[in-house]
Amino acid sequence: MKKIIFIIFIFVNLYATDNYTLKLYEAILPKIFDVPIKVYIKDDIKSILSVSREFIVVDSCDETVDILIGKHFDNLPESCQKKPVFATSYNEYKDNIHSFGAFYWRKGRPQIRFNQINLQKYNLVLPTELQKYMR
Amino acid sequence: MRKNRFTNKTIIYIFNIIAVIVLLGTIGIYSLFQKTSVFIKNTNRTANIEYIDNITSNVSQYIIKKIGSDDFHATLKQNKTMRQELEHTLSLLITQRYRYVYVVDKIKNKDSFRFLLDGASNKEDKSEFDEEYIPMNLQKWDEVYKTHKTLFFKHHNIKSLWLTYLKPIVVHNKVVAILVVDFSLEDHNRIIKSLHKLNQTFEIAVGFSIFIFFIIILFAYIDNNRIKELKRKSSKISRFNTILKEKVKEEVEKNRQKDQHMVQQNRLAQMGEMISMIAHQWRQPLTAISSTSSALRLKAQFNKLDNTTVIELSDNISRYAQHLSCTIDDFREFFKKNKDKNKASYDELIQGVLDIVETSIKNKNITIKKDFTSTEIFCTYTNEVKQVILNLLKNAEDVLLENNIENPTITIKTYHNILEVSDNAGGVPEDIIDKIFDPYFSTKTKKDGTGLGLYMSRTIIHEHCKGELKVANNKEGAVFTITLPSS
Repeated sequence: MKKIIFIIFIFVNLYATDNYTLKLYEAILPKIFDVPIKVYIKDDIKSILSVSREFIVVDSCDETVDILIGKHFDNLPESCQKKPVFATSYNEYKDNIHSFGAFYWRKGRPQIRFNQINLQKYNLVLPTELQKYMR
Repeated sequence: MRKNRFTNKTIIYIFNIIAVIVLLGTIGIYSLFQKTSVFIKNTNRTANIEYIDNITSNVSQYIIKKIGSDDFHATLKQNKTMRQELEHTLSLLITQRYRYVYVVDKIKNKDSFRFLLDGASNKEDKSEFDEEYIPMNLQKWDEVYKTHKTLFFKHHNIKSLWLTYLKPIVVHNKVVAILVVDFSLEDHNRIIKSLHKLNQTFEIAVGFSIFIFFIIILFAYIDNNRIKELKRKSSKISRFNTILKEKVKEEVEKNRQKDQHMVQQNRLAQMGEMISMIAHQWRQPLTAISSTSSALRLKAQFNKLDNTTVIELSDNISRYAQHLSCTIDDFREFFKKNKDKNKASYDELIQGVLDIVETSIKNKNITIKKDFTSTEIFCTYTNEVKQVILNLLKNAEDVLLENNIENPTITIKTYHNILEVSDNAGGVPEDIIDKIFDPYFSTKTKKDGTGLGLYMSRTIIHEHCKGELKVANNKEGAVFTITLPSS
């Protein structure tokens, strides 16, 4: 019985976290890109974003993809290499020259970042309510 | 009967009081538990804060001493070894309870902080030096910079953290950095879960006692109604009892009057019979007196009356008159009611009756056979027993005459303490033999019977004399048996 309650508790929490992540992505990216946004994802959030109507999640990256979401983008096709990246880790955000923004967790707290230079590089306009995350 | 110390009503009151006490007690304990629960949580938090406060004071002093300047960022940027050494010190603080321990400082002209030191050893958790960091509840972090005071706050929207403790690192009266300790929710949850379990138990107890309370109230209500109904019925029964008592009293009075009437009737009937018997008894002496007086007259008419004859005949008349007087005395004595018991044998009792009735019976050509063997002496109401014997003899006489029996015979037999009066009239029909002692039951057709003779006889023998009067049939006729208790 205890086990069942624990599993339910974990699932509810996971669902709550996933729901939070999905809501956040739906609150940010559709304000920068036209929906539906075709995305190539290299992260655990792929399954989360797949259920959204705002995103078209593709399994292989090509030139039709709008953005890349995730971390450690190695061996990308050439047509995909210069696509704007929305990082899911601090290191990816810092190290990837194409990352225009990031959403990751640090010390249990959500962190949102936008890189002004890269936003300009891709002609992306950040809505006013997200300007405070610009660095 | 001893009165019950506790009535039903008292028991119900006691139960109600107990129910209220149980309910209030449980609610009181529950309320106390709630307060204690809050107290435990507060104490746990305070103890944790006090503990971490002591540790972080030492750690911050160590960091200040180690860095040795008020520009932590610059010093640590240049000295990676020092950074690693200090981060190792911070990592020692990380336990299951303290999830994250790190040092940040505020970025100038920005609403964000940057990591200076991070005790995390896990690569996923570990921040980089100089990494920008925007914590939640930013104003509280700023407050630490402004007030120079330690601060802690609870998290409601971070699922893994319970509370965050912010310790300002002050150098030259200026906050140069903040030492941050994030408390794990997991550890705190253990206490919360235990308290929650206890809380659930209390909630069940409160629920149960409320349930019991209402059950008792319900039962008390039902019982109260039952008692009311019982009282109503009891009062109805009591009313019925009163009516019944009055009815019984009325009936007893009626019966008494009826009995008196019956006795009176019986007495009148007996009187009638007595007068008839007196007439029989007097007939012979009166005839004798008449004959003597006629003889006296004739002798006087024919001048043959001498002194001797006058004396002889007047003596005869005097003797006959005496006999008449004795007969009256016998009858008077017979009907005199005994107040006290007297001693008598069956012989004496029977002879007393025969003195009155024998002549009358014999005049009707009825033979009286006597077979007296009883020698017992009884202490009884003799006149009443005589009346019974007389009644039995008269009944036998009546039935013998009514049935025109040839050689009518009445047999009187005594042995031990038993007296039998039998006849040869054929007996009592079996279908009425059980009813002949009932009042107003009579078989006499030619002669008017009151139907009270045998009833009164049985009452006298059974209730006054404590004996027994029975009837049975033998080959010739009815046999009435009187059994008197031996004295």
